[in-house]
Amino acid sequence: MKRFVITAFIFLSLILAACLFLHYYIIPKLGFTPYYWGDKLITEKRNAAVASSGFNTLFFGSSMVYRQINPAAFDSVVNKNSNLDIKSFNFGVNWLASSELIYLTDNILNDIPEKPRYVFLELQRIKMVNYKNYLTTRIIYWYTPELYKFTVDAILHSRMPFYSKAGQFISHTVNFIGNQINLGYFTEALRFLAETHTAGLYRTPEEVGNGFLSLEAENKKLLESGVNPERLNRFLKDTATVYARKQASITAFSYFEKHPEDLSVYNTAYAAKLNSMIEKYKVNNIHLIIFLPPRLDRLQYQELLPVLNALPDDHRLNMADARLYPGFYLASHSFDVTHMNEKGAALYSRNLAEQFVNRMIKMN
Amino acid sequence: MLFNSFSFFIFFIVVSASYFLLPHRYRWIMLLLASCIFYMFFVPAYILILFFTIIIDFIAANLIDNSVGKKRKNWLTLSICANVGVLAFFKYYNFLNDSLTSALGWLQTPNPIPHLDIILPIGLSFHTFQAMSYTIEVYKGAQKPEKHFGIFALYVMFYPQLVAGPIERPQNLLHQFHEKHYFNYHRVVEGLKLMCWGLFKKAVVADRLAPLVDAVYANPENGTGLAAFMATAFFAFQVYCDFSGYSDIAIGSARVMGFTLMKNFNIPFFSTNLSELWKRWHISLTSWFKDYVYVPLGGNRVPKWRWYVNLIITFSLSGLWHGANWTYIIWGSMQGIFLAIGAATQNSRNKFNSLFGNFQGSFLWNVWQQLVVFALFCSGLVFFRSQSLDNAFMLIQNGLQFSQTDFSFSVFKNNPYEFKLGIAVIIILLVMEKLMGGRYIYEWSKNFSRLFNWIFFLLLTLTILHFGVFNSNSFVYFQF
Repeated sequence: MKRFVITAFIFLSLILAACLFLHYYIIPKLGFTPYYWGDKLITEKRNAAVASSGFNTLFFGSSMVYRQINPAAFDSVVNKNSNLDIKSFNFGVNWLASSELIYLTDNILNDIPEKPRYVFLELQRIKMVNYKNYLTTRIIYWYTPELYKFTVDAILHSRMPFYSKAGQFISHTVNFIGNQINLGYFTEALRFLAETHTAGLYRTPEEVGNGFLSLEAENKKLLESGVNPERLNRFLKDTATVYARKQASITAFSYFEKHPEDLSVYNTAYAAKLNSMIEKYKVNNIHLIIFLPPRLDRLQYQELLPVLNALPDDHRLNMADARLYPGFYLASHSFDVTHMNEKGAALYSRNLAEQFVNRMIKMN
Repeated sequence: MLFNSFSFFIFFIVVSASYFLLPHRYRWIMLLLASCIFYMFFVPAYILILFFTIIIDFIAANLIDNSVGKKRKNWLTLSICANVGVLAFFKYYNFLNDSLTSALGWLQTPNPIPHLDIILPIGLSFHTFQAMSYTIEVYKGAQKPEKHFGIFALYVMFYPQLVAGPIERPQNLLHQFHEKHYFNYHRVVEGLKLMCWGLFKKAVVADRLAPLVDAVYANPENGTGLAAFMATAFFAFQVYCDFSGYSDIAIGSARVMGFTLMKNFNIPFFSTNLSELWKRWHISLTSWFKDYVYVPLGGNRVPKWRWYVNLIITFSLSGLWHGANWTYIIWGSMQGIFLAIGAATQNSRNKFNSLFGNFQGSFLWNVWQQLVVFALFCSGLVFFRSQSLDNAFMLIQNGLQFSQTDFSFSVFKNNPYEFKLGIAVIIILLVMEKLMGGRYIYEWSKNFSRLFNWIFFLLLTLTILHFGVFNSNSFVYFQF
C-alpha cells in the first residue's frame, strides 16, 4: 500500500506539474482563447462594447441586469435631467456570478480603448456552483489564483452557515482545479475557434445594439420558433412568489433599520475587494457604482445589505427596498419571480437613472 | 453516476480505499451500500424494482434447488416471468401499445389501452439478464444457489457492472464475493491503467465523435452522399469506444479491488468475417444469447434452413433487447440475415476465394475483408442510430445520392477542427488496438520498460485531461 501511495503521489505530481506548465507557458503563447471565451453572449457583448465607440457607461451583472436595465430608458432620463450626456451599454449576461463578474469587469475595462466614465456593478452573493455545471467551460474559464483566493476569502467571511461554506468551498475548489489542469481545454478551445470562424453564428455588434434584451422579446422569439414558454406559464400559475420577494425585502430593510448595529458585521473580504476596485478604477477616471438589485431572497439581503453599507456613499445605490419601489414587485411588471418584464424593466431603468442623477448632483 | 464524472472519481477512491481498509466480513456490506448509492444517483426510487427482482430470483433459485421434477421448472418459469415481466412493462409496454395503436389506426379503430409515461430504469436490461442467468444456471445444476442474500444482491448490483455490464455469469462472479482479496500493488496499477484507457476511449474518442454523428443523424435530410457514410462510420467508432470504454472502466475498477470481470470486447473491427465480429463485440451479451436462446433453439445442429432461422431469431431478439423500437429489431434482423447468408454461401465463397491463391491471408487481403465486415456492420448501424424508420430510410436514400460537393463535408463544417481531430483519434485508436492485439492495455504495456510505462501513461492521462470532452455525456448503452 505504501509503495502505491508513493507512486500515485509522484504520478499525480508530475501530471500537475505538466498541466501547470501548459497552463502558464504554452497555452497563453498559443493564443487560442481570449479572456472572454467562456460564453457566446459574453463574446458578442465584448465585441459590441469594443467595436461601438461612444459608450461611456457600462452595466455589468447577471440576467437581472441583462433583462431589466434598458439603456435607452436610462439614458433618456439621465440626459433629460442632467448634462452628463450618457450613452450606456448593458453588459449583463445570464448566470454571471460575483467572481466571474469581477473577472469580466476588470478585463473589459482593460480591453476597451475608450474608457467609460461610469461603471455599474450588480452586487451579488458568492454562489455555489450547481453540481450539474461542474467543470463546464463557462464555470471554469475565469478562475485565476487571485480570484480563487478572493472567492474562498469571501466564502469564509460570509454569514452563511458552516455547511454552506463547506459546500461552496468544495464547489469552487473543484472547479478551480479543473481550470488549472486545463480540463478539456483543447476540445473547448477548438470549438470556440471553430464557432468564431463560422459566419452567422455570433451576432454582430449592430445586432447586439445596446446589449438589452427583455425576457418578453426573447420569449416572443421562442414562441416563433415553436418552443414552449414554460417559464412564463409557470410564473403565471402562481404570481404570489413575487409577493414573497416583496415581503423578504420589507422584512430585511425593516430589520436593519431597527438593528443598525448588525450592519457593521459584514463580509470584510468582499467589501475590501469592492473598495479596492473603486480605488483602482478611480485612477483611470472611472466612477464605479455598486448597486443592489430588487427581488432578492432573505439570505441575499442578510449578506449583501451590510456589504453595500460598507462601501462609500458615492459609489453605492440601493434599488432593493420594496418600501421605496413597490412597483418592482407588481405581478403586472413581472416575467418571473426574479425578473421584470419590459414594462417593469422600463420603470426600473428610469428609477435607477433618477437615483444616479440625484447622487451625481449630490456629489457635485 | 457516470464513470466520466467528478462524483465517480471521488466515489471510486472512497469505495476502493474503504474496501481494503475494512475487515473482509464487512466488505460485502460496504460494497452493497456503495452499489445502492451508485444506482440511486440516477432515479432513486427504481432501486425498489431492482430489489424486487433480486428477492424473486434469490427465493426462486433456492426453491429450484430444493425441488425435484416439474416443480423445478415451475420455479424457474416463475423467476423468468417476473424478470421478463418487469423488463416488458418498463421497456416494451409503450412500444407494443404504440404498435397496436398504429395497427388499429389502419382499421380506423381507437386503442383503448392508455399510453403510460414510464421512465426506463437505467441498465434494466443488463441486470435483469444477469439475474436470469443465475436462476437458469441453478436450474441447469451448473451453479449452487447462493444462501447469503446480501452476497446475491451484490452479485446483481455490483457497481462496476450494474448499469452497462459486462453481463456476468454466476460461475465467474458469485464466488469472488466470498473470497478475501488482499491489496496487490501490481493488480491495482493494472486496474488503473485499464480505467485510464477506457476513459480515453470514452472522453477523447466517443464523445468527440458524438457531435459529428449528431450533425447528420439529427437532420437526416442534410446527410447526403459521403457525409452519411462518414457519420455512420463515425458512429461505429463512437458506439464502440463508448461501450468498450465503459467496459474497460468497469473491468478496471473491479480489478483494483481484486475482482475479475469477463472481457466484453476483443478488437472487433479487426475481424475478417461477421461471425468473428459478433464473437468479439459485446461478448457478455452475445454469449448470453448463444447459451440461453441460440443453443436451446438447436443452434447449428439442426437442418440448414432451421440453423439460418435460429440465427435470425437470436439476432432479432438481441435487437429487441437493445431497445423498444422497430429500428433495433431491423438492425438485429439484418445482422442475423447477414450471418445466415454468410453461412449459406460459405462453400461457394471458399471456392471463389481459392482463385486468389496465395494472396489469401496476406495483409491486403485481411484489410479488404475487415473493410467489408466493417461496411456490413455499419449498414445495420444506420437503423440502430436513427430515431425512426423514416429517418433511417431517408438517410439511406440521401446517402446514395452523391455529388461533388459531398467531398467538402459541408455538414461537418461547423467544427472543422473536430472533424480532423475525430479522424486523428480514430487512427490513434486503431493503431493502439492493432499493437495491443486483443490484450488489455496493462498486459500489452508489460512488454515495455518501466520508463516507457511512466511516459506512456503520463502522456495518456495528459491527453485525456486536455483533449477529453467533460460535459458529462451519458454512456450510449445506459439507455438499454
